[in-house]
Amino acid sequence: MRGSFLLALVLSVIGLYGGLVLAPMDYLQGETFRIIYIHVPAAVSSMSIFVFMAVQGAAALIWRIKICEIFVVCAAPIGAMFTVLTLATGMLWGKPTWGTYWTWDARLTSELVLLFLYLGVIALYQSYSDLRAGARAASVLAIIGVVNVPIIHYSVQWWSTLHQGETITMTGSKMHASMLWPLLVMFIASKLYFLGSLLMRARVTLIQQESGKAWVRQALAVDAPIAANKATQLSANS
Amino acid sequence: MTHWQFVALSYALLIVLLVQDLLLPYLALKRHKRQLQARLTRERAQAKKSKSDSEFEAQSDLEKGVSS
Repeated sequence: MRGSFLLALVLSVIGLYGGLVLAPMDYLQGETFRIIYIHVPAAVSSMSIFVFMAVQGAAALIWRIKICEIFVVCAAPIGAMFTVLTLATGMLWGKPTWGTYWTWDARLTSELVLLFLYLGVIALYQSYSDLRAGARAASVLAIIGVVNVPIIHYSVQWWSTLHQGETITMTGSKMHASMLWPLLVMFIASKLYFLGSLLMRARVTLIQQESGKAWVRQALAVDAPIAANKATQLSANS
Repeated sequence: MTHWQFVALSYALLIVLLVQDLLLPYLALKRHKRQLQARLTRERAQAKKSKSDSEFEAQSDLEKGVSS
C-alpha cells in the first residue's frame, strides 16, 4: 500500500514535471493543453475503475467472495473522485477551448451519468444496515451500470460531438513523443494511486466489519496500552 | 482568466480531491480505533466489577453458613 503510494508520488512528480515544464506548448490550444496530464488519466481511471467494480461485483455474487464485495464498495468513492476530477478539469479545459464550461455533448453527458452511477453505488451500500447485503446490492448496480462504459468510450464515434476523438489508440498516437511520455507516466501513476487507495480503504472497511475479532485488535494494536499497564502493575507488585 | 490560471485551477483541484480521498479513510480508521479502545476498556471494567461482586457474594454466603 505504502509502496504504491510512494511509487505513484514519484511518477506523478516526474510526469507533472515533464508535462508542465518539459513538454512544449500546443500550437493551437496554447498552455491549456497541459490539463491533459490530469484530465485523460482521470477519465481513463473513472471508466476502468467501474469495469473493475463490475468484475469484482460479478465475482462477489457468483462465488460469494467477501473481499470482492469490499473491493466494490471501496472502489466506488475513488472512482467517483476520478469522475469529478474528469468533469471539472474538462470544464476548465472546455472554457478556453470551446468557449463554454458545459455542453450536453454525448461524451460529457455519459460521463455525468457515470458519476451518478458511482453515487448510486455508494448510496445503495450506505442505505443497508446489513453491510454484506448492501455490498451485494451495490455489486448488482455496478454490473448493470458497466453498460455505460462503452457508451462513454465510443460516444465520440457514434455521435457527432464537440469532444475530440481518440488521440491515443492501440496502434499509435497523434501526439508528439515529447508530449506523450509524461501522459503515459501519469497513466501509470494514477493506476498505482488507485491501487494504494483501494487497499487503504479495503483495510478500513474490513476492520470495521470484523471489529469484534481478536485479529483486528492485534492489527490495530488496541491491546497494547492495556498490556503495557499490566506489565507495569506486575513489576510494581513484584 | 489566462490559460495558466485554468491549468493552475485544475492542478489545485487535483490536490484537494487527493487530500480528501486520503484523509477520509485515515480519519475513519482513527475514529474506529478510538471507539474500539473505549469499548474494550469498558468491557474489561465491567468484567472486573462483576468478578469482584461475585467474590463478595460468595464470601458473604460463606460467612452466613458459618454463623448458622
